[in-house]
Amino acid sequence: MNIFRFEFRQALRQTWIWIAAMVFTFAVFLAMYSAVSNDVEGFKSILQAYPESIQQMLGINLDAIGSVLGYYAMTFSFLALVGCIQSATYGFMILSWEQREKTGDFLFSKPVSRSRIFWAKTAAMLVNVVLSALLVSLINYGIFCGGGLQGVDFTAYAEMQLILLILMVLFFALGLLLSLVLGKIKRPSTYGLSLVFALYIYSAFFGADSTIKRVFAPFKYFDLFKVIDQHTLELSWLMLSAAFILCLLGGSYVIYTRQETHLS
Amino acid sequence: MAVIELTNLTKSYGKNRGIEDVNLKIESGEIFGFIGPNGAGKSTTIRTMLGLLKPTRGKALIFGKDVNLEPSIKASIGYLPSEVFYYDHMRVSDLLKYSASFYGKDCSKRIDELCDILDLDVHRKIEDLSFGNRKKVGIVQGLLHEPQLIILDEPTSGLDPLMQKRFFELIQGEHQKGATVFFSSHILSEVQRLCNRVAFVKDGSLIQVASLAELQKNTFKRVLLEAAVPFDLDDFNQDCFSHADRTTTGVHFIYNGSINDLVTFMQRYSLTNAEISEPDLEEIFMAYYGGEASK
Repeated sequence: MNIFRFEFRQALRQTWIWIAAMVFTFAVFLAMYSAVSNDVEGFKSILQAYPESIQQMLGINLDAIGSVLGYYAMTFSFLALVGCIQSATYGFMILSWEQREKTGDFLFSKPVSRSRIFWAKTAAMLVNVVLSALLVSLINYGIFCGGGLQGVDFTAYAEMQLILLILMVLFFALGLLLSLVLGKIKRPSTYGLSLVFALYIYSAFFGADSTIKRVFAPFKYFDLFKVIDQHTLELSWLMLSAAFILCLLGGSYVIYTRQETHLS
Repeated sequence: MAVIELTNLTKSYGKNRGIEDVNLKIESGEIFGFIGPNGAGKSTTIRTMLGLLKPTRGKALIFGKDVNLEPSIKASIGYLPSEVFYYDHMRVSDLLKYSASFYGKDCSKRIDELCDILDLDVHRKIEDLSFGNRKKVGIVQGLLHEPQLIILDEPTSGLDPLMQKRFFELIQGEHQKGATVFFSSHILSEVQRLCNRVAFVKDGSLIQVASLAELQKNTFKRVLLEAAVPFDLDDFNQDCFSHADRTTTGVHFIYNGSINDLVTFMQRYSLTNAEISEPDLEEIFMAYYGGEASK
């Protein structure tokens, strides 16, 4: 429990900053909504000028852009980007810390198994990730309501926030495994940023081409507009996400518990 | 039961040598010195013994248990690594509290005592500490839980002479309370001062394990010979002689072998003076390692 507490607190300050960044992103987009809702057709014509690939990348659906949640879907793609960069960075950061800061001799000479260290560190970061997604969801919903948009479909909103959480946990687990495979992670944020942008662009350009390609495009696992229209999260992709997360965590556990503590 | 028992302990880094077939048994209550030049394998042995590195072959038991299988045994071990790295942004007091939290007992009194002895300011951040002060943090965090086995890897580097003195008193105090001490160093005077038994390690292998008294009295002798006629240094070009050098009136060297053979050898010369004395550990060390230790 002491390792969990220690690691949780270490990351908490960063977590507040990431939460603030996500809330700020949302607030900026929402501030523009009143202007958009007053001239939906004009806004659509601006967006129509964008190439379709860019529209896809930005999560734009011209038919739905006039509704609050349709507009939020566009905002969501940016929120997801920020949230996933945060969680991927945490993934790259947490298990590589001892190697980066050379604190391995301190931690691994304590009377605690590597297995316990792994779960304590992973759990501490997962709680930070969940806390971020939860607080961002609650604060943003509060802003929705405070902005006089009480009519927002809560179920659809909650499902979209669940997607955010799933994506964040998925990127966290991906960062975790990659940090162990790559080794010597000097700047976790650079790795997190690169991973998320690479998969974001891949998802936008290739994610809809075929089922196989979609498997490698996490930002295309869930169709936000299906969620808005039908409150539907595709079960098969939900299961696939869960399976990926479990496999990535399991793989990370196996590698971490077999690793040695190097000084350099 | 031995406190430390290493059996054919081997660690290779790919094709590179680490340590090879290290066999060692250290009994309870010993202060054991582990001596060797830089790169000889001292830290590798310690880190493999502590489970920080996985052995390629062989096994290391501490209090009869493998630390990889039973990490709880590390609660009885205090370890000071040769290079101390901690969480830089933390205050010393927070780091020590975090370290103490692993042992499930209140270590605050002992932390205060150790910080007083070592004159350590616990309110400062780790990143603001000098190397010597970081070393003090390392010593406190290694001893705060009053371990039964203390493993020290090059412990005095960075400490000033006053702190070294206090540190040795501290270790001797822990020893008197019943702790076993395993102490790696290449500073022989401190090993000589503290240890009952030593092991020499060279190129990853143990080359000699002996009590300090045995080492100093039984085999090695410091010899000074003086004669009217200058000595031919080629005469000393044998395995039993090392570090032969001329003085103004004679020659001095370290001899390792039978004392009767030495007397026979000395009879070849018309000597004006001969002195045979006990070498210090440094001279024995140099005899073992030849020129490489001074490189």
